[in-house]
Amino acid sequence: MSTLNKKWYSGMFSTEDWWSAWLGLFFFAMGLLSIWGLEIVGWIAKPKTWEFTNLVQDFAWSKLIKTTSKDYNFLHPLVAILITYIVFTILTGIGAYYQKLNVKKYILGFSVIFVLTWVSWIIGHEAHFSAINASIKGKNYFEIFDLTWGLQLGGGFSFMLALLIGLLIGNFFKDFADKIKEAAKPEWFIKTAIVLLGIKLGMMTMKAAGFTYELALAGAAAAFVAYLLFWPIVYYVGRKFFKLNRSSAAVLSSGISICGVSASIATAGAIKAKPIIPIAVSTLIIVFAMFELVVLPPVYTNLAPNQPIVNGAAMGMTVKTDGADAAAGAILDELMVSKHLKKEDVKWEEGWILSAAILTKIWIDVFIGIWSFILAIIWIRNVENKKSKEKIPLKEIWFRFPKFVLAYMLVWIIYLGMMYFFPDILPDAKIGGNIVQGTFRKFMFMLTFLSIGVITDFSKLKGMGRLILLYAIGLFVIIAPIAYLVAYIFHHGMLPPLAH
Amino acid sequence: MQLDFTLSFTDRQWVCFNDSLKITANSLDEIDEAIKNHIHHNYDKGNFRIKMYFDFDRFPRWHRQYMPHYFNRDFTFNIN
Repeated sequence: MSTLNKKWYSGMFSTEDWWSAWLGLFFFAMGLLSIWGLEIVGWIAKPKTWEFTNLVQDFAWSKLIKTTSKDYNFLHPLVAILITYIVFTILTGIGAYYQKLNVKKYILGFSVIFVLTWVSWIIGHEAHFSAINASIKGKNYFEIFDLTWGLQLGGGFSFMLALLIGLLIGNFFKDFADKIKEAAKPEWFIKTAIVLLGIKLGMMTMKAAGFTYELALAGAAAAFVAYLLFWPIVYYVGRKFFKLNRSSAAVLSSGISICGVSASIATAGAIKAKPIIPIAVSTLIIVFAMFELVVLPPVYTNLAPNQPIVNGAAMGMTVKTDGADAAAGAILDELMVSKHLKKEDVKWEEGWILSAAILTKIWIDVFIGIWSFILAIIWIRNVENKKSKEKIPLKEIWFRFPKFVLAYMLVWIIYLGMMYFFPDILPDAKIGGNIVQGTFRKFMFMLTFLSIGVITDFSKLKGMGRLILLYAIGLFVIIAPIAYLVAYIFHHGMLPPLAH
Repeated sequence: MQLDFTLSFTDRQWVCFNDSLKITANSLDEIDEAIKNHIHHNYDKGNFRIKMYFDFDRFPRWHRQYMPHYFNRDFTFNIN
């Protein structure tokens, strides 16, 4: 069996990228049915804030879990979880089938990941971890549960716990990790979540159109920085000080400075490097992305608590791979919103910091095809000095274009269309939209956190000393400071609107 | 005339094949030369267009979620 990209529609039903678009659009369409009074997404289960002693004294599942919509309150919480499991297993299982995954192994792995995700999500909502000592929508869980101490991390603790459980499995229970890896698909899950985030972007545009357009344009500028500034610097350092050959330096530079694994594979393809180069580099990128994801959100939160959008955009330029970037953005969002609420008793609306991180990253993703195309031409003419009549097919740009971005933009455009042409239907559209971009999206994020942990194996860094050093220098000395400076220039002073 | 090939990579070597030909080489340049030789010995004079499609199944499964394409090649040459 082989996978060849010959036609423009090749891979439309067989790649994770396309399936992120299909799955995201399907959820989006289900949410839109609320326009016609059909609210068919509210059954999805979500965790409630709970407190340990209170639960032990009088146990009830309803203290831990509820349906997202009150219309489905008649469902027992465990039935809501079961429905959630069945729907997600069937839909992602269909995707797994068309992606030529081993469906039996996928369903087994997904079932385990589903259970562990929910365990993390529920534990993460224990009041001592999540509750913030401030009033949110008229409720202060710190006071309701009479807490004497608390970490006050909001939803961030759930994310970190899922990541930790995944990492423990990926590094200490490797046989078990191998058994569930068929379903550990962080890029698929996160790209689906990003499509759903298009709804959030639509709602953001309604609330603050100027702010959202500015965010999108600044993201485009950031993409130019990644390609035209980061890449040449890292390439030069790699060649000059680390004596890497041209191919390795180019592939590594793209991985470190552009968008991680996807960029390293695209670049290696553009310069026709042997596939073992991007495969080796990818391992390095995945493990480093984990460090970035764990270290940067708390660092940015504490160093610049009053620059939320700057921090989000800087994250988008610094953290590599879509999964790790979105995950880091989600943690940053939770930490910054919680910290601000705790300190100022004012709640920023959730999702804006995350959107800043994702919009910046998406612009970088979008240009990878064009970048690779240009690089391929330069490589043939100036590096290989070939005078052959080799053409770089234009279709290469399309094959490397991230298709989930099309779905993300489509969702955004549909919301813009409703805003400008059918404003009367917006309140009804938002009923389903809020559920899909809320609980559905957060659940996909939780799956991503656990899956990233499962596929990250730190022991694979053995024997990569020189490359590790170059990556560390590239990231912390070159990329992170410049990214922060650029993000500051474009976004300083921008704040998310207040939550109501 | 156009000839289509599947391009693959195993055991540190490039493999280029179609129904009538299979070439294994250390570099793509060697592959190109072998194809030219093959055409020279088996076809009449003329312009030839070569298309190669990289088989992405050669990448480890977990890599494919990040980028579903490696590269395709398209070049022409003339045999007098």
